[in-house]
Amino acid sequence: MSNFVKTIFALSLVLLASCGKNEESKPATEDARDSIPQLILRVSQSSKLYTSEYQVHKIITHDDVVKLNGSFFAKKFSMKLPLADRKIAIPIDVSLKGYVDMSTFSENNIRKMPNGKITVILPEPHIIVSGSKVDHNGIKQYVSFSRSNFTDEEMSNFEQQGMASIIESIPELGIIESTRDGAARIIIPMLVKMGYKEEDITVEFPQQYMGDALIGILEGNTMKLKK
Amino acid sequence: MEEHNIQPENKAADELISADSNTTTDNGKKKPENKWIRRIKRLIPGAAAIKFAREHWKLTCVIVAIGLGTAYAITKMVYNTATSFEIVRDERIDITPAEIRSIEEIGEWEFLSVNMEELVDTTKKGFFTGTSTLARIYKGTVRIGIDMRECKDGWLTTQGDTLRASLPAIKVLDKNFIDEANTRSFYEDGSWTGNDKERMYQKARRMMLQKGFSAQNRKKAEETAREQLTKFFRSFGYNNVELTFGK
Repeated sequence: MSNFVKTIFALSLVLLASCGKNEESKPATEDARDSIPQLILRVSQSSKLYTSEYQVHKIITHDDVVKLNGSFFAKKFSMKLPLADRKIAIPIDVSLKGYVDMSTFSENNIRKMPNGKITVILPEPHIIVSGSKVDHNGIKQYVSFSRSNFTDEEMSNFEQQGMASIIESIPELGIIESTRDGAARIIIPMLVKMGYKEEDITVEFPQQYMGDALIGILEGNTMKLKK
Repeated sequence: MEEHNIQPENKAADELISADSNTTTDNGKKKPENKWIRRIKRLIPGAAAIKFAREHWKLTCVIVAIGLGTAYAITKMVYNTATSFEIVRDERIDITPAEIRSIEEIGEWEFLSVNMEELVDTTKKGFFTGTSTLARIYKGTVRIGIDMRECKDGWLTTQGDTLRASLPAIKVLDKNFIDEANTRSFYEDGSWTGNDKERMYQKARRMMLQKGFSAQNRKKAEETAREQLTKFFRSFGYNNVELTFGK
């Protein structure tokens, strides 16, 4: 009997010694599996002058409520199921940049007057999302005991929705005007160095893109403008 | 003691007794019914109803027809009122405002962009959890060009129809070029912390930087810069454009 007790005690010690917290377990092995080096690579030559940058912060929230909807003898009803709630808050930072595409710039964009004045007509500004960053350590989630934690796929879905809502709000941010002002601030000193007087330099944008009624057309992650 | 021996007085009474009794007749001879059959008959529910239906079959048909019609009408009424139940979840995010943290005037001129996707995966092993795996696909654009704010005083000089420009070095214009909000989750098994995902992000960034800002791409960006800037300055009437880039 004593031998049996000793054996059980020894096995218990071994089991306890093998236990460990999740955080203290072996760290992620980065060299355990080699990633596929590249899935898509697209190289594009360009000539884009970025003149303004906006850093936008957003907290994406989602309240996952489970409801029982239906109808009973033509009477509709909707009721929230108890103890089935989940909430999550995801902070993200997005970098927006405004630019003018100089690849089509030519002599046709320059008007020189006999009195020494010069007018430079720049193309319409575009806005892009140059990068975004999720604050993973800042993510907060509250999950009822009857539900499971949010998966990575669900969180990615919310992040994409949040990004889409930021892009929709671009025309209201004022970044377009900042881009135009910034472009003038780059071009004018250049022309001054070329010998022109600052008061003789005018930087213009196409008439149809002046004013407030601008609608953004999203192509990929680039916002192009039209009236 | 007298024996009570009831004798049928006529033939009709005799037949009635035969029909009711638990005996069978065969060529006039009475045959006693098996006691087991008698017990089974007593157990069958509705035996009396079946006997009634056999005897009054027309009435039975009418009753069954009325019953079926009623059942059909009730079923149709219930179906048409569309009794249904479903469990729903709304997967849309809440409407929250976006906050502008900073507005900066910049002067970056991009000459080459490299759009990339990288599949990054990581594994970890635990005693009770076994092997857990997380794989994500990151998207990013490495933009290569020059930062005009790094131009030194006197970087642009002209002499007749010759323009000389001393431009800063070609470099990657964005520090955070990955669009992490558009990252796709490819495979997930186990639970993962924010630090794990941050490590994966840094790994993806290093891999994209290594491939996007290669020597070949740097050379290509510088060639494009020369071509585009020469075209730009020639638009202002300078036939000779001499450009130098920092290292």
